[in-house]
Amino acid sequence: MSKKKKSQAITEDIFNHLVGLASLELSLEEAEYLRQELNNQLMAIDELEAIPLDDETPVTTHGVPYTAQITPAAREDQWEACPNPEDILAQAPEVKDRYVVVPDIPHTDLD
Amino acid sequence: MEITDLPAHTIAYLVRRREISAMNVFEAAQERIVKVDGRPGSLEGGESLPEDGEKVHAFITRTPDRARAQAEEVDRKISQGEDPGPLAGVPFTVKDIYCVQGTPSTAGSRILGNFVAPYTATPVSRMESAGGLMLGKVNLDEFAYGSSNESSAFNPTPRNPWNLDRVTGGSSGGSAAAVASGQGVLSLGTDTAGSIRQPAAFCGVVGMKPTYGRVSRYGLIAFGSSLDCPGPVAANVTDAALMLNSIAGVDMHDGTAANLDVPDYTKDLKKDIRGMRIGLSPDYFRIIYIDPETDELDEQAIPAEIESAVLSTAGFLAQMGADIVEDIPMPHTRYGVPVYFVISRVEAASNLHRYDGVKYGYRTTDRVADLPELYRKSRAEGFGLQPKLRILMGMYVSAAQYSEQYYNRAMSVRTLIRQDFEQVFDMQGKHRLDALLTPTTPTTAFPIGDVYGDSVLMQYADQLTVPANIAGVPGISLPAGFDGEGLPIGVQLLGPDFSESRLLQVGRAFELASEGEQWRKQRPPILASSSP
Repeated sequence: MSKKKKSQAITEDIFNHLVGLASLELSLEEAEYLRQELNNQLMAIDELEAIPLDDETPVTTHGVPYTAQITPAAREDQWEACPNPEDILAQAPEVKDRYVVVPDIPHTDLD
Repeated sequence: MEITDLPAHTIAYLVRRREISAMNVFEAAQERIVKVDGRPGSLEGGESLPEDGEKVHAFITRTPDRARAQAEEVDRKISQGEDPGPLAGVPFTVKDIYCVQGTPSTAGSRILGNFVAPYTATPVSRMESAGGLMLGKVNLDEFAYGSSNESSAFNPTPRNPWNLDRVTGGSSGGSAAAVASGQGVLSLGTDTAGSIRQPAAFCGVVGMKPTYGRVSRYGLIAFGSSLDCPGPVAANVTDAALMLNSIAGVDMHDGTAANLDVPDYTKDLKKDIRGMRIGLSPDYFRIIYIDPETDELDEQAIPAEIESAVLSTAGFLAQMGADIVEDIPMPHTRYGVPVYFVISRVEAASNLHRYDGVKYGYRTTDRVADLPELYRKSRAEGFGLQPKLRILMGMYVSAAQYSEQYYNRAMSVRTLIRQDFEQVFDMQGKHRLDALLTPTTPTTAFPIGDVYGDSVLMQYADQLTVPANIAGVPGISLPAGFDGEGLPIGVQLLGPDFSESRLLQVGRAFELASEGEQWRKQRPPILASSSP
């Protein structure tokens, strides 16, 4: 079996970038553990590189092919009243006058 | 024998014939829960207490009022001559990743700890309409991310009824533990990489992952949307078939639920299996994984006791007239875990973006300056380590600069894994198999705390189950004996798309052939000690 080098492909910089994209904040301890686990998982993922793939190999997004025969017909696009809007609003952490309350949304200029 | 130890189909039969009432069943189930389960998992569960080690802890939320009302309704229907449904009076539990209206629906995560579902998942409402009694919601790995049930934010987490120091497996650990300890005779689980079959094997019960699309996912809190399959956990094959009858079928709320008639899955159970071709593949008798100590790729044969349980199962099937075909090539089996590491992470990351502390679920109580900080803090405090790991990996492997190397490649290898199955099940092909017989897991239930934390090693617990999710094909895990430590061993049958009837038929044939075996008479010690 092939000898593998411990991967550190996910550097601290890349890791911190991912954490920002994921809208997370991590303690130092969490960050250290997670980055190491990610790099360990990448080593397992790198096994995929050993497989010869030709350009003809199609991608599969679902295992089971959805033939016309088994694909359900799209239902009518019909408006239906929600039977219990209050139950749904009740799930929001903060609601005022049936509006969901959020803190300040920073203004961003689009280029 | 207590009512809670009867098969589901027997309970439904006796209830319909008025030999017992649904209320009798409800009361027996409540008694059993009190006897064996101990305190339910909760966010405030804290450290394990010494007495926790003596109980199963399958539940997060118990719903006795709901179950009692359902029992009353079944008894009312029977007394008025109405049809109470095929699951009349059958007590069942639901993995807490399904929305059930009016119940906390937590996915085992702090981020959904306060979420009360405003609607009910299709498979649950179908079981309730069929006359089942919903006893409550059972524990799982957080968002189903794990193979031991240890990642749940709700403590104490479930323990294996056969040995309370061992894990239940996961992620449907609460489901398998509940059925194994008679806390409800059926449970609704989900299987994304083996999450029904692996805990079923560890806990000595039957677990089926139907074909992708056979059962609606409406109301299931999503993990890997191209992989997630709802399915039955049951004490025996007939009960799994009965449950699948109820939950399968097209659903206007889920466009992936296949438009295909649902046969009566109990109908073929008595048919003989003479002439069926059952394959054995060397690729399922070894695991290939990265050794965490040396970082070297290592190949290991599965333990002799598990191999011998599979071969003994093959022997029983041969006695029943099946042809056992050896040396079936499944060359891409070993790539199941790496492919899964990529595809499931991308899908998980995408599905977890919705948790933002705004619309529902956990919101940080810290003061925050603006919305992005609210997102960051709520997600940081609400998610445990396993969801964070999956989000980060999903973002990495799908990033523009890496997606060709990782995501696209994984989807192409997915095709190769699918082709392995298509080739061996091709009725015009070389092998023409009706089913493939494999071990369900590379080990029996490991000790609590032994593997948790090593996310790579944990994933390899799924090496023999995950190919079916990647390919979409159905699989069932069946109890097939015990190892030297008294832990259950599971064997797995895999078949072509929508061949659930045949898998159940073969499973039932194995049950009949092995009926007289000593191991079939064993019960979990926790039931022996709690019997009056």
